[in-house]
Amino acid sequence: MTLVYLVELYELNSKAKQEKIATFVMREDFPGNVSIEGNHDHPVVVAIKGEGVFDYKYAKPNKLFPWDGMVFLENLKYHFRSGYLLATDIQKKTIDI
Amino acid sequence: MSNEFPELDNIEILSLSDLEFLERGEIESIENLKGHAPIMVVKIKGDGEALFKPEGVEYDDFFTEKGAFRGELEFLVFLIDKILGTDMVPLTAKRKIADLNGVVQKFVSDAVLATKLNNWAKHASESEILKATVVDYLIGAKDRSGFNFLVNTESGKIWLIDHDYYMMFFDEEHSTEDVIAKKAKILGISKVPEDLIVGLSALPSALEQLISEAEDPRIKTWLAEIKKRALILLETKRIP
Repeated sequence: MTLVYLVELYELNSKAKQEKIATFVMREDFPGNVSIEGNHDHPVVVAIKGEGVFDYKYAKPNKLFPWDGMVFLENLKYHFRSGYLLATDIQKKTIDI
Repeated sequence: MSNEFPELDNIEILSLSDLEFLERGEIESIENLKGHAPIMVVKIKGDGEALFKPEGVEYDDFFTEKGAFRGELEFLVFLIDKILGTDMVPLTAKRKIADLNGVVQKFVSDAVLATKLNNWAKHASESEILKATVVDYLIGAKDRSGFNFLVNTESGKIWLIDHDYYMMFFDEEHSTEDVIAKKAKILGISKVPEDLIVGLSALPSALEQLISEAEDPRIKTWLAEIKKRALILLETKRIP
């Protein structure tokens, strides 16, 4: 059994209906890596991987990327807050490996 | 026989402006969006969808007080945009929905987030880039990225969204470079358009009123800074 932390990212389509873009997953036993489940070619996912997200929580000037682990996950909900894009809080789940 | 007597519902629809619809149009449905920040999609009869951001809803934030500014700032930026005549911010109104006070903003269905476009600036008109740069300069936007503005790829129109605590009050030292202002610099456009001068001239006195009405000292200071920048633009006619 392994504990995983995950954040879901949603976008609104042109009819104002939410669609999931991706799920960001970090295993507790691999804290330095967040994997992305979803369409890696989606422009928002491409932008996240390429440009990173801002560190709102700790107000550090550097950008955060999936390899930053938990701090990256923690900041997704602050980065994606407009409604057009909206991230969930970190959820915990136990999975069988 | 021609339709000389339109339905009563149609008469009501015709008599309401878009803003009035937002302020008091009949709500057909409300849907809570999945996500951390509390946002609802409300469907307004005869006016399409809008996003409702309730105020005073406490949600887990590292500094919950920031959440309290969401609606206030969103509404003030809309007012400033209206006074300027820039039309960069979707229609926004204060409203009580589901027993919660907050702001409701028209959902833009015919534009996409800039980050979803391959080279967004190719799709946006130069005049829109310039107007957006004026607005962002005035409000002191500190977090303008491709995630918080939309572009209509057919008309070239830009819509600015997401005017909250992070956009206005984030630590100057750590703020991100405004991608629209950066593009304006690359294009070499910084002259304040003539058609904005009238609105810009009206802004300082309007801001005085908003300052006197604002309760929070941080919002008063922010508005005072906008006034200073408006006076700079009026004097120089150029974005610094």
